[in-house]
This record gives sequence, C-alpha cells and structure tokens, in this order.
Amino acid sequence: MSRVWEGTRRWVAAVLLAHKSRTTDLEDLLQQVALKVCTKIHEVRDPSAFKPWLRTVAINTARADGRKTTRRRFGMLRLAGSTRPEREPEHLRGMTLSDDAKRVLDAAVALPEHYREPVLMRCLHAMSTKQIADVLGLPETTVETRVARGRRMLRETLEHAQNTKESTTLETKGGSSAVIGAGGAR
Amino acid sequence: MTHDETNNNPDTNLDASARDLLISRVIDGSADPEDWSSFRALAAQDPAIWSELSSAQRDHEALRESIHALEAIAQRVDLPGGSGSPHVIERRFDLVARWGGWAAAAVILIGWFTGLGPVGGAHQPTGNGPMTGSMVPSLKGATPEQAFDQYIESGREDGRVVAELPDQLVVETRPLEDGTIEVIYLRQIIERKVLDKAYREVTDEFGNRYTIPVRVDSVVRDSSF
Repeated sequence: MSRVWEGTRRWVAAVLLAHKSRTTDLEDLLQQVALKVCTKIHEVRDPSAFKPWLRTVAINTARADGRKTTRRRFGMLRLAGSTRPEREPEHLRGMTLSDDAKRVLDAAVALPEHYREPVLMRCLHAMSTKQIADVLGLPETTVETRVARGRRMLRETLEHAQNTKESTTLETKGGSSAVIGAGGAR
Repeated sequence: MTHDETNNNPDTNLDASARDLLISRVIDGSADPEDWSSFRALAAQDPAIWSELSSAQRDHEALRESIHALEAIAQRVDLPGGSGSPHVIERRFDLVARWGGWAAAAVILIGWFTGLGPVGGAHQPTGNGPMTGSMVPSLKGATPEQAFDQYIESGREDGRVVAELPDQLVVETRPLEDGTIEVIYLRQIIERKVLDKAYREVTDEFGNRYTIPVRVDSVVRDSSF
C-alpha cells in the first residue's frame, strides 16, 4: 500500500495543484487525500480503476476545500480585538521559487481545465504520456495534443502579459517626454 | 487573445496543431528523425518557429522548477500510520496542539467545579485578592468569568498556561426572543505540561487503533504555531 502511494503521490500533488484554490496549502490537501486512500480504498474493486479513482478523490478534496475556504472567509465572524495578518497567497507556499517559475506557474494553473493537468503532469520527472493517459482516462494522442496545445496557450498568455507590461512602460515614458516637449515649446 | 479550439480554416488548424506538436516533442526530447525533418521544413518557410521553440523551452524549464518543488512537497507526505515520517507526526501534533489544549482546559475546569462541593465549605471568594496555593476555596460563588480569570492567572504563575489566543472563534450565533443575540464561541488556551513519556494514537490500514511512543526529536516545533 505504501509503495503504491509512493508511486502516485507526485501526480496526485499535480492534480491538487491544478484544482486547489491559491490560498490552500498543498501539503494539507495531500495529507487529506492520503487519509482518504487509507479509509476508502476498499471501494475500489478493479485495480485498473485505481488511478482514475484516486484522481477523482484528489479533485473532490481540492474543490471541497476550496468551498470550505470560501465559507470560512465570508461566514466566520470575528470578535472585537481579533486581527490576523493575511498571508500572501502562493500556489506552493514555503517553497523558494524564482520569479520566472512563479510567473509561469501562475499562468499554468490559469489554463483551461482540460489543459492544466496534462501540462503540469508532463513536467513531472519521468512521467510518460502513457502514464498521464492512464490517470486521465484518455487516449495517448489526446494527451499529447492537449500538452502541445496547452504549452502554446501558456506561451501566448505569457507573451501577452509581457507585451502588455512593455506597452504600459512605453506609454508612461512617452507621456513623460510629451510633457517635457510641450514645456520646451513654450 | 482567446483560447478558442475551433478554427474555420482546416488547413490553418492543421498547421497550428502540427506546429504545436513538433515544438512539444522537441521540448520533451521525443522528436524522431521524421519530426526533425518536418521541423526544419517548417523553419525554412517560417524562421519564427525557432523563436517559438526557444520561448517554449524557457517556459518549460521555469515550470519544471515549480514542479520540482511540488515533488519535494509530495515526498514528505506518507500514508497515515505508515512509515511515520517526522514531518507527518509533527503535522498531527499541530492538530493535537490546536484542539488538545482546549480539551485539557475543559477537563481542568470541570475538575474544579465538581470539586467545589466537599472542599469549598465555608470559604468565600476573595475578590481581587492574590491567588496563592490551591484555587479551589476561592472559586466558590465566583462567576464563570472570575473563575476563568483565576485559572488563567494561576496557570500562568505555575507555568501551566502559556497563553490565551486572542482569536475567539464564533461557532454559532442565533437571535433570542428578547432581541439579544446568543453567540457560541471558542476560546483557545495554550497549556504546557511536562511528561515522562508521550504516546500517540494511530490507526492501521485495518482500522485497528493503538498507541505508540512519540520520538521527542520529531515534535520540535518552530515558532509559527
């Protein structure tokens, strides 16, 4: 049982990352899934159904936690005098990542749902297209197409963000020089 | 920019898909000689594909850095009751620490109140007087709030009560007939106890529950609690 978990927990983490809310701690969710594996594994009768079942457990865990987080945020009253600083939301809290890695991860988890999981899983060490297809319950060709298309979307999103940033900078600079020019003409 | 998968021009769609697939295979290192021939042919018509490949490769490397961090997190999580990694034990202790303190406080308070009858006798509450020795006599007739404050004060003095957390969590609120509001809330107290040995309860994969000793070096906590 432990060996099966050790062979699957990396992609389970990727599934959670694809579906969790930004503020939720990934490790907490993974522990919840591990607990459910122990308590509900008897529900799986066909071994070939284990991976899709585990993926469903992970998705449900992430979504249920997302709903709970929303309820907690809006439904809990605070008594007077109780203040707590908000934590900066991060997808992988506690891990040191470069700015590039954070930027690309943000864009990857914002991809349309069909593309998010395959793109993230394809980056896992030694996870083949066939293994991803087994987990997602899709033909290999579909997975390969989704990975390829998802990567293009990712590229376009990042380029679009970069272009927007650059054009904003240029506009600011242009605005400054126009003011200087107008002043000089007077 | 849209991510529309449909395209009215089938030739353009085919080209775009083939282009995406070729770039993706090159990144994964799975491009075969035929793929490379196709890639070169495409590049001869449109050199911009080299720039796309370069961007895609850079994005992939950046994403791999994040996924590498994710894999490190995943490696720390074992099945409950499994190998018992220190990290998992620490997590469980975190939960126990959050709720166990409350249970302990409740037990202690229950103990005090149930002990009042036989011991309290002729003693009356001392109001603002200093708390020394046993608190039991001074609790007779005290309001719950006074008794609670005495518990906190006395607990701090002998080191049992570390702190009361400022957050008081509202569990339930409901309006009453007289126009007031009933609030059920949780007060959180951190207590300290020195033990000869500590045990934790675990459940194996068959649902059997049993206790095992806790390794002291596995429950050293940081200051984030």
